[in-house]
Amino acid sequence: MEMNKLLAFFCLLVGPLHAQIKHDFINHLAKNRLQQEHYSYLYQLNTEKKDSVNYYKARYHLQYFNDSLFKYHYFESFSISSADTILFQKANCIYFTINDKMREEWFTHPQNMAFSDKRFSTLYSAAINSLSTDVTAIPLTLQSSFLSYQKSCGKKPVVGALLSAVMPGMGLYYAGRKKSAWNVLGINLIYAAQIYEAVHVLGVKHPFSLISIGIASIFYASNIYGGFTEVNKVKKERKIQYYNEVSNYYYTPSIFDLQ
Amino acid sequence: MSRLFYTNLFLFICLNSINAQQDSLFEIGDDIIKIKTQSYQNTKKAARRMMSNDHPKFNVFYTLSSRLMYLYQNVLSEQIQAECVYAISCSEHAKLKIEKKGLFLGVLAGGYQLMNCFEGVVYDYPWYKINQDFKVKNGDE
Repeated sequence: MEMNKLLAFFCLLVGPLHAQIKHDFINHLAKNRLQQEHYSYLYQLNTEKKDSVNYYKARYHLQYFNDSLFKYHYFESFSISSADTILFQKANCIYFTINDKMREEWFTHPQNMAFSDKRFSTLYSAAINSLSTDVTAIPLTLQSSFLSYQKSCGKKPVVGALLSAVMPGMGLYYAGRKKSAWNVLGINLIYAAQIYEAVHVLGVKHPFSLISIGIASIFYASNIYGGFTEVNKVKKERKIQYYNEVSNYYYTPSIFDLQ
Repeated sequence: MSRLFYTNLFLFICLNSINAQQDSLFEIGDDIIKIKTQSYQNTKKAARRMMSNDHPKFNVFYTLSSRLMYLYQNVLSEQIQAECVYAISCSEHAKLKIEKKGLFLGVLAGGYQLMNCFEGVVYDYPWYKINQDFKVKNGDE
């Protein structure tokens, strides 16, 4: 009889203990980067408490970044995960710095779009609709990088190419590569002077004149090619730079930095 | 006599201590020099590959230019002390672009980079495009 009582007491005590998720233990595993132990512990947990288990799994997959599993568990436990400011902030910062497709999927997810904290989605939509965005909606620190991105958005590659054709380097200046523009102008001027000199002194049919004309033509055509391609390149670079600055602006040291 | 003795003694002590200092400085200096010159050690670079040729027909111009490029990269370029400001050098960039976009656009892309191979160009790029060696990352994104 006494033995049965003792057994019943033991069961009552151990049952709830087993059901609990040990937050401190999970933090210890995360801090010490014990990835295997962390994984084993999370995946043996009772899934009845689905939300909290999913929350911890989302944290795990953010730390050892696995995009699809992180997103799955994050949105499965959205009520808890989005309430964790550090997790929310860190996830947004990471998605700002990875590729376009993943970024778009993250920020256009219905649950994220309906979420009350609009800081990140505002900054993302500002980059997408840059020309129609009011710069005052962006934090002061990020305004300069946003403005330079906004400025490059209205530029057209064809205009860059035409400007380069009119005057070497002007297309690059228009694109925003000011130092390159001066280099290109200088080199083209030097070659133009050389052609003039060679033709003037040696005549057009002289091999040296022909070689000079050939090289100068390649450089001139390259300058037009540069004027055309650099406009889009600068646009892309400034966009990435803006995203990087957003990510740095909201950076908070956390457990997820350990990876 | 005594003045000469003391002067010599004083000089001996001073010189010794200076020497001692110099010795210890050299010991530390050697380590610093070792660390600082590690990146400048003259290691033999791997031979650069020949431009790939996927054309079904034999093209004299393409074959000749690929041979010339190979010669330039493996013989002439090695003799030039100045380094390219781009992570992928101008000739290598031209080679990759020719392989990817064809001869015409490849030559233009190579020529464009060659025109911009000046140190100040680095300041035209955002910081994430600059690598640890202060060179512009010009690989395909």
